[in-house]
Amino acid sequence: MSRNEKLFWGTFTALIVVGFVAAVVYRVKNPTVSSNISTIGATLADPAGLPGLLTSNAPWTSNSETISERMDAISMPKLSMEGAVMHIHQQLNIFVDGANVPVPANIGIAGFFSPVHTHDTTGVVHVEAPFVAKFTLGHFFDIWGVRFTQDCIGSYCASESKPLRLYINGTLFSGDYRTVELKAHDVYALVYGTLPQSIPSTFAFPAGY
Amino acid sequence: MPENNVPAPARDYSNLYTPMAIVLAGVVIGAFVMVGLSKMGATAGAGGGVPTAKVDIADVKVDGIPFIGNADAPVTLAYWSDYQCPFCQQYELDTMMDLKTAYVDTGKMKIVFKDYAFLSEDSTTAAVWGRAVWDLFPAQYFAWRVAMYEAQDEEHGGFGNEPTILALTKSVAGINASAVQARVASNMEQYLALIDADRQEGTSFGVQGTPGFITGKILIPGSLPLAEFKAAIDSQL
Repeated sequence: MSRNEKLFWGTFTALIVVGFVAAVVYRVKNPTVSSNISTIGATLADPAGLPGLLTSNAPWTSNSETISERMDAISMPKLSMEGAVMHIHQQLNIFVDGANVPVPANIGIAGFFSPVHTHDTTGVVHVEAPFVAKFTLGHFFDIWGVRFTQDCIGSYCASESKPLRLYINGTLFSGDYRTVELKAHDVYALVYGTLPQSIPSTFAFPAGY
Repeated sequence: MPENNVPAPARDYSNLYTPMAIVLAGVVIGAFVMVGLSKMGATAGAGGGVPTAKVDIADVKVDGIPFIGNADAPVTLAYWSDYQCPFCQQYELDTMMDLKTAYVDTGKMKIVFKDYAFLSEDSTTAAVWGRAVWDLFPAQYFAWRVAMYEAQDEEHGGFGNEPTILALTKSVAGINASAVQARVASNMEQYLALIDADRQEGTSFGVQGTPGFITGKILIPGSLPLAEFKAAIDSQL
């Protein structure tokens, strides 16, 4: 290889490296709609200590009195808009000893909106954010302020005779409950103790959801 | 002639490779820097403050779009909304009324209503009806719009489908609701295209949800306090 050829390939390689670095710097400084990953907090391993955390028997209120402090504690933004960049819905069912426990309306709404919230008592969870991020079942319960761990929901903690089970779209889930990512049209059934007559596996989401 | 039979020696361009590559590298790096600088500050926050955005109201399409105020007002506020959005309701019935009194009614500003229908099927239904009301009864459009936001309930809470919007439209003085209904039916495809174009335009400017605003060269993300709007407007007067 001649000296000129070496110079050419050396410069060419340097050009590629410089271009790549410049691209990375540009993307970091200028996040776009499609790549804007928010810096929401990671799902807590244990919600103990969250302000206003309910460890009582069901039913639970929307628990909005202390939501602002909980949002701060889990680094969740308080929005003054309905975000459209991420717009998906799930449905959550909770059963305690075979009985359905209502999921209240207006979880995550208190003058501001949490990116994860409810509007009504259908169990539909709305994820509406002006950015893309990984929201989890743990985030939802922490925003709500109801204790939710691998073993406990509210005051109900698992025992040999009364396990706490999570079903996703009708299938028993064996992983970490709190880090389950909220995905479009997933149906969750959180079941403590006696099984209900049937485990919900589908939900008729309204048009446009 | 003998010299014609001798092939000309091939030109050696290899000594140009290095300067060419350096120039090319400079162009590429310069392009990144230029684009990067032009985009600085263009990303809206998540509804938490007025960012200095690289937008310009002059680039927003306003012809044929519903508005209130003096068409030649010195300030324009473009507003992207969804009829199902609670923050839009809050803005429309509170902040916007104050802005209307202070700036629209005094001829200083016009508010241009852009669609950003995304929350549910009812959002699109309402937006379509809004277009038809504007086309047929522009003088009653604002009253109709206010009535729509006053009637807003929870998503899929009962209000927002066509029968309920028809009933509401009948209650607004000066509007022939049957004519609006017929207009909706006949112009559906055209209206849907316009509504979609509004949303795409907003997205291209960095509107990432509702409500979203552009005035002057400022993007306002969300239903921010009145003072934030006033500061953005006053800076143009």
